[in-house]
Amino acid sequence: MTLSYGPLRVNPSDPRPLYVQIVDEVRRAVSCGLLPPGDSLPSVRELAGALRINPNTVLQAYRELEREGVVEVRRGQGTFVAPGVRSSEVSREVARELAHRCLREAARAGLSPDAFMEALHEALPPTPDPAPAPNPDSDDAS
Amino acid sequence: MLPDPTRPPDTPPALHLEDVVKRYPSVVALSGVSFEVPPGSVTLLAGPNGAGKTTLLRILLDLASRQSGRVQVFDLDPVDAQVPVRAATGFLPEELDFPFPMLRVREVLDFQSRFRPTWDPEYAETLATELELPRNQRWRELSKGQRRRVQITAALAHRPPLLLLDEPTDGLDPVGRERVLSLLATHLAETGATALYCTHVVAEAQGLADRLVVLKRGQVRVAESVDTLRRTLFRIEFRGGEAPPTPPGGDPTPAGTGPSPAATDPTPSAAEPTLQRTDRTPSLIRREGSQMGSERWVLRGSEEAIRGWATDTGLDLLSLDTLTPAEAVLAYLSPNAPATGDPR
Amino acid sequence: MNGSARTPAIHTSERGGPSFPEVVRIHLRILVREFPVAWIALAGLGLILLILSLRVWLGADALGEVMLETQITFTALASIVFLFALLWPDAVWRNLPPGGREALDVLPVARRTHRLGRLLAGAVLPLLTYLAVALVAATLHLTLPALQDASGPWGGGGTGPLFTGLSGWLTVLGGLAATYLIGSFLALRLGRVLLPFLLFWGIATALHFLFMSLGSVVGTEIIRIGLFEGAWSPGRVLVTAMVFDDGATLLPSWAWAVGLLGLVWWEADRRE
Repeated sequence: MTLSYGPLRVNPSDPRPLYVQIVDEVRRAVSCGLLPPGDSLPSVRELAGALRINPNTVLQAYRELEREGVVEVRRGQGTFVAPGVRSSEVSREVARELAHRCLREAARAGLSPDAFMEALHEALPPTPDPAPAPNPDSDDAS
Repeated sequence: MLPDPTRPPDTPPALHLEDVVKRYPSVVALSGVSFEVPPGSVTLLAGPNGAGKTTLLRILLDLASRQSGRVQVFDLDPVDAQVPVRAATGFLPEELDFPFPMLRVREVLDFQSRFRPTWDPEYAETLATELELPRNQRWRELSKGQRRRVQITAALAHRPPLLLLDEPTDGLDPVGRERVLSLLATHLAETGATALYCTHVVAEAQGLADRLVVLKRGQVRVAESVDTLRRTLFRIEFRGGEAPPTPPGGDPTPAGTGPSPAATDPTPSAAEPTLQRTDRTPSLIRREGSQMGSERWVLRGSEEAIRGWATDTGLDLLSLDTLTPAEAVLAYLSPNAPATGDPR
Repeated sequence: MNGSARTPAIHTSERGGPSFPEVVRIHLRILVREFPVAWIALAGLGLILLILSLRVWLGADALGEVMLETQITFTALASIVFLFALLWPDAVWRNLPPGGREALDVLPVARRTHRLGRLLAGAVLPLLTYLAVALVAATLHLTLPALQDASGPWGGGGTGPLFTGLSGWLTVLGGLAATYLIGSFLALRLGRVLLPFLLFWGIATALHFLFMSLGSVVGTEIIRIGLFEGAWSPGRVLVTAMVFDDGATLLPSWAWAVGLLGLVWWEADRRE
């Protein structure tokens, strides 16, 4: 069963530990711009209540995110997306995480990484205009 | 459990049980139960009906006697310190009874508040609103779910440092269950209370747990933090062959018998940390099934050790996954799971 | 919010519960809410007794008529007050049977304190009935001294030595306390009062008749003196102290009350 708070979704029966799921979800929200730098994250109490999970787990996730520099904890105020966070870096982290998960699934299906990559290329939508891949940071600049 | 920097390292455990034995004339309810609950943690006490969960809670509050063993609640023996232990405890009983059924809900809460100097009327009011208590209805007219919600309000409103919850969502409808679990999470975040949460419906509460104690027939099958279990309990799936491989650490099911009495009380070596011990030698916890040419086992041990063992055995490993707390409980409750007397 | 507010209060020694008088007060309030009819009945009884005493006081009736009336009233009252003291604990502990007192036992009051607190709160109603009856008796004695001289409520048409002097008052009080305590003990221990009480007297009576029919004088006498009629017998103390008091029951009735209090004291801390 999926539980959600805004864009943050966790599933207790997902094999990933809950705190990892929260870390991933916050990263995802930062990466796609739902949580811009400086925005506040829900309080431990709010998030734990909404997701029906142990507040220690939320705390653990926030500490991990703080260690990674994605968020910063301001004493007495709460937790905020770090103003200096570069969403492109977070995006890369999200992509890496996703890639690992896909490869694990592929391995479970008995696929070699190469076979999986091949399928991935095939699944890509055809690009009529072979323009260079857009730089994620260019959005911020324009 | 997270190491909390604000907590001094020598903080005593909130609950400490050591070799607790409880015998009734016709049945042994607890045979040497040992485990600890660190302060600020939520421990899920799981087990089938009749495993001894309720008896354990009753002993913690000195509602039932014990034949032997040590019990400490915040460093106090509940037998010697009835009043402080009960004052520090919010108890959610298994039964939905109240001895004065003609009282209205607000009178029931008033009755409770008179015994609790730390009762917070504002918080009680908030909880009553949140749980939609019918304040002017008499107890005897309440439905099961309403009774449960009054009990929950009474257990939380004095902000006790310890919560002993016996099947807290019993009698509640699905919406009520969600609301209560959410309320509990919020309450824990606000008060930092320690909780021992007894249930045989693990799945709905697994998000709240940071420790698991699995009790079966009065014995502790496993008492471990959820984090540790994530790192040391795995389900492997492999292609079954003609001759099944020898399970690591021996087969716990010799010819259909239960765990041997010798296996129930191994002498834990104090010098040897748990993780290292399980690291080195993976052991079989449960054979989950063997269908369509694939076998599923639950193994205890580090991922590295299990992979190493699989390679040595020449196993065609299809997958290796961690288990959710609910799955871990199920694995340890299986008839062939080894019992452990390891108090850690 | 994040962590700073999460300091668990584990100093349990700072936490306590209500004091014994407070526990008694709480349970008295609960008992009023639980049994409104009983308290209304008490008020009704008080009113009737008040009217009765007023009639005597004002001399509205001829002496003989009053004598007859008081005889009937007092015999009935004597039985009712004692019967009430015996059976009232059954109501007090009805929803708190042995094995079903968890709701009290999880509250921060020591087991014994809590049970004795409710027991004491439960004693208020029998005590008030005693006072109501005693008040009428006092009125009667003041206005009609002749009542005492009659041989007793069962025989001559007076109140006998009942409620005469401090000894008369205290004997009844002791007997009443002992009766309430035996009822409470049975309720605490067995969860019911009337059945074990009747069973005990039934067996005693059966034994009595058995010895009589066997012609065993010693057996018959032991039971008669020991259980029914001796100054220290439960029959005299528990049921009829009020009716038969002749001064010799004073000490036994209080000895019984104290002994039963000890029994209840011990029983009140028994874990279930």
